[in-house]
Amino acid sequence: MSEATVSIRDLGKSFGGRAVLSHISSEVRPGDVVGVIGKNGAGKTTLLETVLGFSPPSSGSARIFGEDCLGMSAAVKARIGFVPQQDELLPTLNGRAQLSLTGSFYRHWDKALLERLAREWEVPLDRRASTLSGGERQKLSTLLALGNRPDLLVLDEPVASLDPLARRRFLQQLLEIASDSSRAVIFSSHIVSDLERVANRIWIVREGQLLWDGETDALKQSVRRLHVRAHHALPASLGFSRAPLSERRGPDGRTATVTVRDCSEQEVHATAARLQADIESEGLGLEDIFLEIHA
Amino acid sequence: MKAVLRIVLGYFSMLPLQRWVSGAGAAMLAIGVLLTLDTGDTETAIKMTFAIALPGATLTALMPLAAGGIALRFVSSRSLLHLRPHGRICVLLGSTLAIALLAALMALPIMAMHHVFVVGGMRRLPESLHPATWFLGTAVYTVVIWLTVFTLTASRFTLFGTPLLVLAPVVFIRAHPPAWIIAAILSAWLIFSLWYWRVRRINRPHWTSGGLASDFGNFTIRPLERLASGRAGKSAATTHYLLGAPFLTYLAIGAFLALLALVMWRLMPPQNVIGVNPLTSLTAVPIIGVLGWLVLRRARCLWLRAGLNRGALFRMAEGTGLAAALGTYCIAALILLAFAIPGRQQMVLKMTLYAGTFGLLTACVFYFSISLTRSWNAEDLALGIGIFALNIAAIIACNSTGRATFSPVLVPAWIAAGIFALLALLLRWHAMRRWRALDWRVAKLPRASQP
Repeated sequence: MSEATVSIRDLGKSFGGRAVLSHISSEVRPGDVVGVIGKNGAGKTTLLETVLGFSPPSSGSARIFGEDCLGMSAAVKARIGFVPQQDELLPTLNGRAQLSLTGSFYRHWDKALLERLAREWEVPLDRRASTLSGGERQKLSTLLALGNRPDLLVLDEPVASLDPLARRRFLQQLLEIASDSSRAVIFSSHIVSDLERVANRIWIVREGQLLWDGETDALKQSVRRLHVRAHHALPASLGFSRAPLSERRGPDGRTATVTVRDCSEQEVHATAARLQADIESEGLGLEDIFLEIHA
Repeated sequence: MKAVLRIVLGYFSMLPLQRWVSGAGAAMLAIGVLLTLDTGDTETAIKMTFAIALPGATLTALMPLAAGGIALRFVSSRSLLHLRPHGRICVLLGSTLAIALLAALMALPIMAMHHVFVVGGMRRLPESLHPATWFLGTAVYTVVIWLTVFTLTASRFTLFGTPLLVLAPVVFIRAHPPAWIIAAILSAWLIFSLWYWRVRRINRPHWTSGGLASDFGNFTIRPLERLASGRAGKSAATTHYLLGAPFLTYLAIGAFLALLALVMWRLMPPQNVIGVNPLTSLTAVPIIGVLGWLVLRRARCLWLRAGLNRGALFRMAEGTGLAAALGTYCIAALILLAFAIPGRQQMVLKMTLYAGTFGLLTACVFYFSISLTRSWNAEDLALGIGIFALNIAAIIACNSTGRATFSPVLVPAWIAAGIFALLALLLRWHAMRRWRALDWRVAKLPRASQP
């Protein structure tokens, strides 16, 4: 098995006594495209920035290419690309000067790729950053992160300011460039449909904890919505082995819609028999899963 | 190495139009130095140095000198530098090299002049015109300015520190810093470098991170809180919001300027007491400039809420901002006059006239700053340089007449007052014209970035 690109062990982060992240452990390997989702304030940005060593963890550790995130060597830094949620472009420099300044820090800088992408993404490189629109700034910020052909690309809300068409094209190209079997991508987004399309792994962050860390398909298979219909009033507890993620009862008490996790077909059949009810199972998309989890 | 050189280049080309100004300055410097070396005559060498080469060097060095500290803070922000290989060390080396380059630029004309004197076997130049003095002096002054600006931009007290930047060179020239001060300041750069290398996090300038100028900073919230709690009426809350602080704060800033000027006064030869007024004006200029710029941008939030059209909003911003600008200057001038007049009754008219003249300059600066509805263009730059040149010309005129005691010497000051009054009216018209076509999408406060 290849060496982990990112290795997180029991990571915690507190601000003024308030825990923003707690007990997060995971690994990212080459070839992974990890989508991070969570509500506002769930801790996504803090997680990404702590993993990259922007601020020290309060507990636990994060290692990138085998090195501690707080003491990364220049060689490791040269393998990372990062697009922050709020860009920090230099306002008085034009796009070309920003690329040139950033590129001067790297031994390998793919100028041709950036020129091509700037043309395709319609980034006006001759205009000063202060005069660019939000979407153009975001694209320029992404170009800055791609120039060194990073082995680990971390993007924090990279498509928030883009229109749907630009978003789809942008993500598609981004992943073509950044994701192959030797590279890893971690990106957060509120637009769950984007994540579903491109991510092969999902981290769901809720209240500073990693609620789900696994394959996108596995998540979609593991969470199901069950429509329960009976001819009599259903009991207060439907008796699933794990507590449902959400449960809604009909007004007459004879129907219920339950979202369950890790519930096998046998358990569904057994429950239907026990309740003397019909149970219809429905697969959910990532967006619905997200909504059910946070319901 | 590539990154180090790119950072050095950045200091000389970071601002709009700077590369053209730097280019023109470098051309003047080159021509001046060549002409100086070409002549064997020491008198001509002095003229070439001070008329062409040195102004050229100053033109090239001025912007990096003034904006280097803030550029250093900008370029050091987290996402720009944290993940760059050898990021901090490159920035440190680039900044140190830029300081050396600035010092070399300023020393070069003096070196050429010195060469002509040495080759010609002519009279010795004074110590103050030795190339090494200029090199070390510029390097030390640059370090002082950069470190001061770097420190001040981390907090909201920037405005209070700004006058120090204007006063520092005067103190420096006057005090002839001995070797130990030079050594101490260069050591301060080394200590700063060590700190910079090791510190975990450096923020962007305070006003871009939700503070001084942000729509969401305390400067916006406090007036609203005062209004909501009944501690301030609508008018007072609006004034507080537009000025970013209660009106009294500006009077306190004026008193602070007067205090600085009084310190300067102690350092000046007694006959130059009259020069304190223009100096105070010069120190007030950056504050008034920033005030006007912020008043214009803060007015954006009142556009819809106050239900005023652009013309009415201009008059509201003008009334509030001009009162604060003149209040700042007048309180400083009054304190100075109160200290200066006793024992110099024969100079009362002159001092009052000079104070008034430079008060009018303050109004010019205010109107100029509220006319900056877009980012700087060539017209604004020319206007800014013109006002600055007029200010310097007026200071020279005042100083040259300050030593005389008979009435005809007041003429230059009356002329300056007339010119400034006319200029203030013209700039008011210019600002009003700009406001009529004001685009609120452009004239807005700096974007708040992550702290």
